[in-house]
Amino acid sequence: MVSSMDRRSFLKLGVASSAALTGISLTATMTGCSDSTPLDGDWKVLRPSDRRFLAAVAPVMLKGALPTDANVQSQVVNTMLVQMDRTVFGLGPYNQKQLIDLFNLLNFSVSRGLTTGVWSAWENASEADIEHFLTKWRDSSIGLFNLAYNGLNRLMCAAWFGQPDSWQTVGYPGPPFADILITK
Amino acid sequence: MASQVPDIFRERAAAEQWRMVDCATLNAPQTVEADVIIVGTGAGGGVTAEVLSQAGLKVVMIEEGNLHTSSDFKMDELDSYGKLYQEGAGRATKDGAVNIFQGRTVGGTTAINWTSSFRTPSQTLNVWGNDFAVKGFSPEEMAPYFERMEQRLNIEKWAMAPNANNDTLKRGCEQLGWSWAVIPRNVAGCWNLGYCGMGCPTNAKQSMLVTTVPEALKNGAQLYYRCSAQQVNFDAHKATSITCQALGVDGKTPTGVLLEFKAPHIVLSGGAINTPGLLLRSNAADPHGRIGKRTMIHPVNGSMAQFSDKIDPFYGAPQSIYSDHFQWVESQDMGFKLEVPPMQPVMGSQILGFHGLDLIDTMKQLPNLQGTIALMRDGFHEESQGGSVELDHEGKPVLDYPITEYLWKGLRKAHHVMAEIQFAAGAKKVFPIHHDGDYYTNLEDCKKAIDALDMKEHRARVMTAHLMGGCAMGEDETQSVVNSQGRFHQADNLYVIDGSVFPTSIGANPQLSIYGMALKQASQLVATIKGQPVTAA
Repeated sequence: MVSSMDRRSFLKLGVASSAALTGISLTATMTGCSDSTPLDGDWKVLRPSDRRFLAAVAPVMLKGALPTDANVQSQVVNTMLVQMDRTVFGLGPYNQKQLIDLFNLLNFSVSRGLTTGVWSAWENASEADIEHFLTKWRDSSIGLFNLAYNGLNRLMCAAWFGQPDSWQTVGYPGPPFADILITK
Repeated sequence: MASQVPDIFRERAAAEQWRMVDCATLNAPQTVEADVIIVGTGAGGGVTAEVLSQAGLKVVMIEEGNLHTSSDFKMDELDSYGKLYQEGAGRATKDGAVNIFQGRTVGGTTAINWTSSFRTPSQTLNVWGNDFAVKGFSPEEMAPYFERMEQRLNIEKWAMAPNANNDTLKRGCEQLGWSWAVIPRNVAGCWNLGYCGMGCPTNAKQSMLVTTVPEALKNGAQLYYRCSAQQVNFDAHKATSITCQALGVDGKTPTGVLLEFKAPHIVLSGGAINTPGLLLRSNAADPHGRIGKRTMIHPVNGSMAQFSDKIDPFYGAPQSIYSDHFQWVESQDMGFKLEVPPMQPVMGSQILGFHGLDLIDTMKQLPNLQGTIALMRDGFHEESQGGSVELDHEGKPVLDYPITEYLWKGLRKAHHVMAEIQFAAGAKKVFPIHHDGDYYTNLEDCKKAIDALDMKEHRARVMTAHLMGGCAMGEDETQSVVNSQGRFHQADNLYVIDGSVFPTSIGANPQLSIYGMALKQASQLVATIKGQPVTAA
């Protein structure tokens, strides 16, 4: 249920900043700044840089929802990363490419700084900086940023609220008659 | 441990030795011949397969999705959305502004829909006859087909009490003096669980997965699944075969094995978006440029309300009450149907568009939240011409659906109406789902805020679960793709029997419209193949 990024391509919208973004993203790709590291282990789609971005942003996107204990939260985020990888793979090749384009934009320092206001690497960004980025993209008058926010928001909501660990907080008792209806 | 409900599909498959091929297991190319090839196993393909196989024809069903049956259905959102929906439930319109929920599994969308079963409204059928040159679809002519499908699929008004989510819609309408009614559902022995959208774990939902597809298999039909139709091959005025790609165990990636399906008659039942996509990919003749045009989606917006009493919107038959009070209005405004959505945590959280504390503060209230949705009746007005299916650079279909000012106006009106209903039913606060919306504690403030909403893509939350049109039927070849019997204007033996033939949207959840139309078209096709006169339904 993650929104596909703009299918015409995330980078081709006719908004004022898109020309600049396109140039930046091409630069990011051509200079090898985007992460082309082969996937390791069981990861289907998400590259190490994508996972660093998602791991940094998820606790802010889901602030107040995730466990506060640092170790527990870190485990939860790791579980979410596995789920997000599965979800993004399931979206099919076209949607995957849109998301990867977005991650490239977010992982190249210049485009990240210009579009999100976060100038440090994601893993060093403060909570306030990330919160500012999310709100900026959500409230932007540029549809492109709203769209990207919606995609990240849905991806992370699914990865957390789909997990039984989240259900107690939201008062959801889980599926009924699980003992007799669910094949384990 | 296994579910204690028998998996009737698997049990019958073994006992009756059904002929099914999981194309992921194939190592070599295949050529398959039959009397009729049917692409798709949803509402259109399922009914067509049953009718043709009962007539003694050798039928082959092709399904792009995997085979999932009741013991696979775990009432788990992540699992189901990933496995049973088109593009992992991430399908969207071309600009990403409208999320599309469409099934991709044996049984198609009927395996994951919410069971609402309405006959095509008479108003809609009359428009088809009067404005779109469709023959044989008057309310009187269609009634026997709907009646037979209602019997076949046990369609009856929901007899149990509505869940609180639905009851709120009813109470709000009653307070305001607006009309409402009970929704007919295609269920038998329903447990009232609320997980229809994740695949029915008790086989109560009378989807194609447990009704027509099994009947066809019992009659000797074959089913090829994880089999993706790539191209219809044409020779002059005939379709000669369909070329398919086998998909691997991930259900997505082609293995490289190709299958060729040949038959004197070919039926396309892939549904809106996919059927016009297949025809476009096949370079099918299209002298008037009609393939993929006028695709309708019943655009949906929603309103969230918080109540003091428990709603538990995740439990109970998802849809049992509707209101058509604003559906067939005299004014030129776009009509809409009012219903409610089930809200398990993923669905509930994803429609909000909040993050951080705004998100969790709302989600903590989930048991007290009520959702109302409005389904816009698109395609009935000159400023509502629907969208167009195109192919992306990989040849996959994508729907370009522009939201017109007329439609935005209808969506805004629906926000007003939904808020009125929710406050009338006793809501403590109401949130019109939109990036610029907030919770409002009284109707006056809420209506002011709704009037101020910036109605535009990516800020307004719009979605669809009803895909219709794109291969419109009719007798005027310049306006349509198939004739009133579903036969492709440009080939004598190629038929389209699915929701893509509708010239407008339906103005109601479309499954029974597809069933009734498919029963009529498939019965006609049997008569055509056998050279017999058609008998009435």
